[in-house]
Amino acid sequence: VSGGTRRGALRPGGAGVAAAAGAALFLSGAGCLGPATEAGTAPPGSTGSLPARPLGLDLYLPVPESNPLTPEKAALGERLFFDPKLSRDGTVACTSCHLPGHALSDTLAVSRGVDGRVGVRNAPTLMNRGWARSLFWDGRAASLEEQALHPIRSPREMDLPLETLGPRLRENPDYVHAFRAAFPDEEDPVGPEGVARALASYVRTLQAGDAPFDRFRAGQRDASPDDARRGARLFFGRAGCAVCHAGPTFSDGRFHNTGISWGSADLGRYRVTGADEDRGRFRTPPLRELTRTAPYMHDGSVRTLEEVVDLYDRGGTPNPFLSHRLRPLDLTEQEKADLVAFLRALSADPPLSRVGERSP
Amino acid sequence: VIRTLYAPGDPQRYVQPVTWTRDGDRLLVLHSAEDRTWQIGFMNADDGTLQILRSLDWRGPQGMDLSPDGQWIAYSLPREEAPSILDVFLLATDGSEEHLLAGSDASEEVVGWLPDGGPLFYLSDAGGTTRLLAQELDGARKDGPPRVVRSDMVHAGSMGAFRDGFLFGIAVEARQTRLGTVDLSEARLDVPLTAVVPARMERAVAPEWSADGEQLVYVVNPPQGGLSFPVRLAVRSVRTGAERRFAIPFGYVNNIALSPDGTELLVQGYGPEGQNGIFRTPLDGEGVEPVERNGIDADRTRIPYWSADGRSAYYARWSMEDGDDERIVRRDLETGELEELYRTSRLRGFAVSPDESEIAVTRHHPDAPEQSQLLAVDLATGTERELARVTDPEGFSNGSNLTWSPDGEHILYVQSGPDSDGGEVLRVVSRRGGEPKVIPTDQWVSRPRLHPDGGRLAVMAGVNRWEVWTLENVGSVVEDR
Repeated sequence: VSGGTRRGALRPGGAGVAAAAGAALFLSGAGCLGPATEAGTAPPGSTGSLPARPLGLDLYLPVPESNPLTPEKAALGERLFFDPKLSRDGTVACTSCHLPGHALSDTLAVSRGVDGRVGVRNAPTLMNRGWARSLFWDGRAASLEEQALHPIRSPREMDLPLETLGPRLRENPDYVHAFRAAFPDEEDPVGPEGVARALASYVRTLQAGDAPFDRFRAGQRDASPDDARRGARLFFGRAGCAVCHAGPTFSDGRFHNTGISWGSADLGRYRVTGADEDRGRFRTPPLRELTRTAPYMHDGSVRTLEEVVDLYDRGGTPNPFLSHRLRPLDLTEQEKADLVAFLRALSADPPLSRVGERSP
Repeated sequence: VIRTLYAPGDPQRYVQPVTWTRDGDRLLVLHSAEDRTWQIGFMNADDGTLQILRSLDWRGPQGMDLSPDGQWIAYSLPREEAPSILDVFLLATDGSEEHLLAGSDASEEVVGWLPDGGPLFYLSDAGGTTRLLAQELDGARKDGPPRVVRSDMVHAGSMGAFRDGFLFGIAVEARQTRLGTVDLSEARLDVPLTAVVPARMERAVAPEWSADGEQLVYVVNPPQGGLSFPVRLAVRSVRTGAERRFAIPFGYVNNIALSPDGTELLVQGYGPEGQNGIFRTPLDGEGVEPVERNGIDADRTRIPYWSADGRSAYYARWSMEDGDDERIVRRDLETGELEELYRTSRLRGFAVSPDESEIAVTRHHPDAPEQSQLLAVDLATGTERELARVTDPEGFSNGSNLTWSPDGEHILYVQSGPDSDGGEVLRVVSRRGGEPKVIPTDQWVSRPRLHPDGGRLAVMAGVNRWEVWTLENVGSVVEDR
């Protein structure tokens, strides 16, 4: 058997993650498309209950066998995520650019790192990244474990040499204890690999669903207003949005050239593959929580959803490598407004005020 | 008593039941989502609640079963980079894990488990023949190598298991592409129709001749029918009979048209991302481009043809606001400009004349609801000439069931209903009018296509006939070995 992935039974219980880590996603709804809000069923022999899923997401979450998902690891990952100690000068944490209240995205067009250094791309939402086929706008990381250390060592972001990570964390006995709890079978887990696995585990627990559109498709016919329903028909039909924005997270995980920032030095996927056809291609962003993740696109150059729809109505920005999937749509103003209404209906309501926590 | 479990009110969403759970509480289903991606899930048998375990993309699983202990779902999925190859996966029914069980370079399709458990059975085409293999499992892990149960299986659709074996549906005859030779002036077949491929193996549909007459192109479907991603395309040399095969990334194809230079197709069907519409694709499927995507029950396109210069596409186009009317349009494939050529209510089918000055149209008669007409329409003036009339509102077969002779002098069409003895009969009529003539065939026909020599005929003909076979003592065979 090869290629296996596990979601990983949570031990000693999924609800414990929320209590320990403050990430309430395991309490946040159903793992089904139907109106019922039932949790997953524990398999025979499992010692703990499995986490429920927000409405609209798969029950199956890919987890590498080498890094089973446990409450202890997710809790450690969350702690690391919010700790500026992971940056060179102790001023920048992961959450500095992935803001709670904004579905863990940035409100700046491009993010800022240590010493105010300006990045080159917009910090995307981290919600539902557990289902991602690859990470970063150019897909250069194949797994969350691989992705996690990039921002820490990036000179534009946290700029921390990885060899200093372990010694710095070991200075805090609480961290040593937390790493041992998270990796009980490992002799010295405090280091870059442990950090990567813990952060990846935490990010896997960041799940957004239960949007008005999810409730509508589950049979609650009044969950989505008329304009959003008309927008859905355009989105899945004539406008062709679902050609790329498909699946439960509304992303095919592939790379497309829409012409955004064409002419800049950032050639996207081409930097990874060197293939001409990848010039200007960037990963299809997921669309959940859009109302909280502005500005949009890989360079944060589009400020509103109305501008996003206008861009696609024009058929993208012409360039020699523009995706053949794009062409002018000739939408009416009403149709554009309907599409925006549909995009808004993909955000959880009531909103997630912090990671997985619902507003009062 | 019939209870409705699932009625999503969205034409893009539907479920395919696969099997019941042993306790009868749930159904294992395949769900087609709004974006036409596939999902594996369970449906509650009481209230229709759908629980999605696993979302896939536009590649649908082919072959799926639930283990007798209810712990695992086995399914086969086309490989992303080589969709002609199926791999076998095991997905835990609680969604907790998934494993690749069989992922060789051969195509491996799940048949299922026997009711009392034991190994998972699947078909494998490794080694050039189709073999039935039995794989013992320890949880999701292989317990030893798979054992060969039979090595001389034919392509067959699994219809489920019984106590000690499996049911298979085997196609023994099919409505598919057949070749013959026709004399239009005498309205007779000079060479009777013969199938281009054996029905037991596969079904050749939607034949098209190349403009130079050197090639015949058709879609090859699995004998059991149904969805098959990717669609397989065959290009056959008319002189040698040699065939080239291509996989084009479509989930389903209703219609194809071969470009005048023989390098591209217009395809009406479900495109590479699940969108329905008309697409333009090279024969090898690399670089599919939409000509027009359909909306969800709001717009529909069908019956594509190329212009003789290869720069435009003709097709029929319906929009919700048009009511019963349907338009025949020409789209410039370079500029995207759309031109309406003809508009009529309740169109059945159409074909463009070789010089593109006229179209032949079949439709319900607008003023006589019990009748239908075959017309020739002058595209420059809009003048209509009735060439045939049938006392049946659906007397002309729907879709791409008429064609012009290469010299533009005759129209070959399929007529059905009471005037055709209840079947689908091939007829020919002069473009100048006169009495239509029946071309006798010993089989019902559809989609006639004439070779540029005006004599050779490719046509869909025959009936679909199936046999159900049992493969018995499977469990005993495995135990004996």
